[in-house]
Amino acid sequence: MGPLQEILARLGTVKNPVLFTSGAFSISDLYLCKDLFQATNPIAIVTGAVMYLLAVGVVLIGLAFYIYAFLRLPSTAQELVFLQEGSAALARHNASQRVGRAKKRRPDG
Amino acid sequence: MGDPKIIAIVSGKGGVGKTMLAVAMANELARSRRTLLLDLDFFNRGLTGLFASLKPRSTQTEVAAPKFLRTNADTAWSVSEVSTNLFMVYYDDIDDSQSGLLEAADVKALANELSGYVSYLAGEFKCDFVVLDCHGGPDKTSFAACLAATRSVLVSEPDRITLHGTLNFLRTMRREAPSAAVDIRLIFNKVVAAFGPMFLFSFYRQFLQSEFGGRELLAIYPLELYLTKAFEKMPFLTTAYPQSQLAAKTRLVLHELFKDDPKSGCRRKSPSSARSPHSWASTTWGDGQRF
Repeated sequence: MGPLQEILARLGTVKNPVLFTSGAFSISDLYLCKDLFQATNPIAIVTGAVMYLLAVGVVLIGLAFYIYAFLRLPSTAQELVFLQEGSAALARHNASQRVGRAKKRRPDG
Repeated sequence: MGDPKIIAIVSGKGGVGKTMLAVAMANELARSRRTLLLDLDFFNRGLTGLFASLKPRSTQTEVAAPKFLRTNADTAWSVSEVSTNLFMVYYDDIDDSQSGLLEAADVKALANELSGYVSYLAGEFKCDFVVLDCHGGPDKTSFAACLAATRSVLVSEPDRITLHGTLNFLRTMRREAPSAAVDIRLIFNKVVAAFGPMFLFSFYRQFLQSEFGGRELLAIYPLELYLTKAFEKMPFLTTAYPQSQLAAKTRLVLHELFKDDPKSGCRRKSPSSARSPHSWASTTWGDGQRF
């Protein structure tokens, strides 16, 4: 397993904090950009719009990541460890079967 | 009466809950069908120990000992009804020469003899189902039981050691009986809350499904500690705790195992009702009793 894949696999265990953090960030951002929208200064309005889009973007990314992690990644450290150990055990099992088959094919004597 | 339906409960490692599942299955089957329970773990004899206290209370019927053990004429094998419709086979300890015979036996020949003996017992007691509780590990009796059984269930736990044992069991069985077609399904038992069912189903499909001939994962049983603690005192847990996951899932498992077998008594519903989320609950067996 490469480092990127390992990081990705571990991300599943933090999907709840990621969703909570992105949700909390978006709510606070939406609350703050409300005042900027009401300002008369166009720079403040543009900043508010950027913050609004950022908040929406972050919550959407958080949700998409949560759904992906829920469906595809191990959710707990135990699942992650079992996945890694299980794939290693299966690789050994397949190797043993190949060795067994090769021994069988080898002619006697 | 036709041939009995034989269910073999095996595992690649001990302590995964085979005996609890075997008793649960036998107890659920016995609600509507005469069922025989046979302890094939000749070395540990956990099932025999579990029902030892019930032996003096019930009437014993002597039966012939299996030929594959080459037992003496004075070795006592008997059967008694430990609960309504549920028959248990009792026998004395096997000796070293008999265990040596089992270890040296040819798996297919042993399977034939076991099949014949189980049919004889089922015929004597008019049993429709026989549940075989095997040894925890890859031994020849377990392989023979799988070959003799109508359906086999391999019990595992989601941890490295048990998974290693499970794969070793499959590998060794394939080596011992390479051409045998065994209908074997996997159950994950004692699953703690840290493991989600979606993860286990996905893990099974990714890594293990091909090892089980493409069959789906049979069931995931959660760890119910209160049942584990109560098991020694009252073996019939599915009667004592009918609302437990053990009881509900065992009914589903039995339905899943025999839904395609018209002789099993598990009536298959029409496709429309089979799609209903509650169709499993309405599955009935022969005499109309809820299964």
